[in-house]
Amino acid sequence: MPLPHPDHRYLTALRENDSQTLEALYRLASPGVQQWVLANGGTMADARDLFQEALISLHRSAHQPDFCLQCPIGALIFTICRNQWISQLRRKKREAEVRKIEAERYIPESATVSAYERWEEDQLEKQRLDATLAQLSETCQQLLRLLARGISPAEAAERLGMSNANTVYRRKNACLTRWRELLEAK
Amino acid sequence: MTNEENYLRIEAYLQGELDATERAAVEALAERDADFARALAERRALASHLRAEAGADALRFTLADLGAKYFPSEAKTARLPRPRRQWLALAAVAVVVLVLTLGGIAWWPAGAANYADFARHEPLALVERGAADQLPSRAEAAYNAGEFEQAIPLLESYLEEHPADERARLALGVSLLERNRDQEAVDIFTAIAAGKSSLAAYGNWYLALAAVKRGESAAAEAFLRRIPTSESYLKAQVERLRAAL
Repeated sequence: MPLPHPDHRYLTALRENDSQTLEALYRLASPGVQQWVLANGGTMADARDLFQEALISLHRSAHQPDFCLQCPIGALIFTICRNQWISQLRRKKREAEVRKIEAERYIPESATVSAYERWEEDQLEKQRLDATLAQLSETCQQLLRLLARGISPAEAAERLGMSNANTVYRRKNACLTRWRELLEAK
Repeated sequence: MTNEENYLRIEAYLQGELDATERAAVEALAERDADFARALAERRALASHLRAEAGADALRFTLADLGAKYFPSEAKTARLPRPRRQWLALAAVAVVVLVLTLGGIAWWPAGAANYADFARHEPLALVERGAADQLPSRAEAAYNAGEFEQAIPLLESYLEEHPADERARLALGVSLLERNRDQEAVDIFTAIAAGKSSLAAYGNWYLALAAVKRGESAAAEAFLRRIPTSESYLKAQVERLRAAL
């Protein structure tokens, strides 16, 4: 695997919720996004929401064991925010602003394009997993989420009204079997 | 190897419960058995997905604070020359007062968003079955009837016996807020919002409502930003309150 870009540390900070390093990321990358959104028909609140959601989505990528950042993180965040803002403008039928942005002919470097494509794949995968999880029973969803939060099987049993930790193991097995069937049916 | 054995093996592998030899055996099996490799990859993807989802709420909390600092709220309207602005302000106040008076609506000084419009609390269910004179039943009945003064001591007693019941704690916070014991309520909501329970989003929702009650729109917005968009039950309410702020 190639060596990661030095900015990969910001992905680690997202995964570990390290507020000090994340503040450095805001200092580094927020001014560009802020300036661009304000210049393209958005408000400060729009810029703030776009930036935050971009980081939340990258937090998911940061949990993928094979996700290795190969470009400056500021460039990737800017590309995500830019494309999300264009989608929002299109949804609101603000076509004149979309044309103005597209006339800029912004072309990111190839490493940023590759990182963005990988990010898009992660987002599609997220949608696929969200959709299959949503088809599981409420109890299965709660059980899988509790265990993922690090709640012990004994505590999960108590919270979900199951008799003991063994029942939790059995139910988890059944839930995952059902989940796999749903995944394969897609 | 049966599916059950494969399941247990993958589970132990992903939980980091295998020693180096056992891990190598799992990886070797994945190399020669395509079905096992696929099952392992899928389970690994789900585990990463759920882990990320579990961490997203706490991250949102951190990012909301940083967002408020690095994306400061802008002035909402351009400043008009003073005489015209005063005239317009007086006219606007007159129209609003007239409309509210004619409509029989109580004036609320907190701004456009009115606490009472959003203070709709989910019913509390502490017991599935129980005699009416038992403490949980009485606390539940008082809360659900909107008898918050009466619900407060009952919920406090209940929580002494069930300190981990976050739903009861949230209900106590709501009752205190309704009885204008705002600081005590805010302390409870802050603890719930900072915790890892599934009610963390509700902690932030009620912190936003408490801010609306104080007339602090910016603070309310900051709390709303901490609520994950995946909170489907709160989503519509959050959007409505945002629009009113």
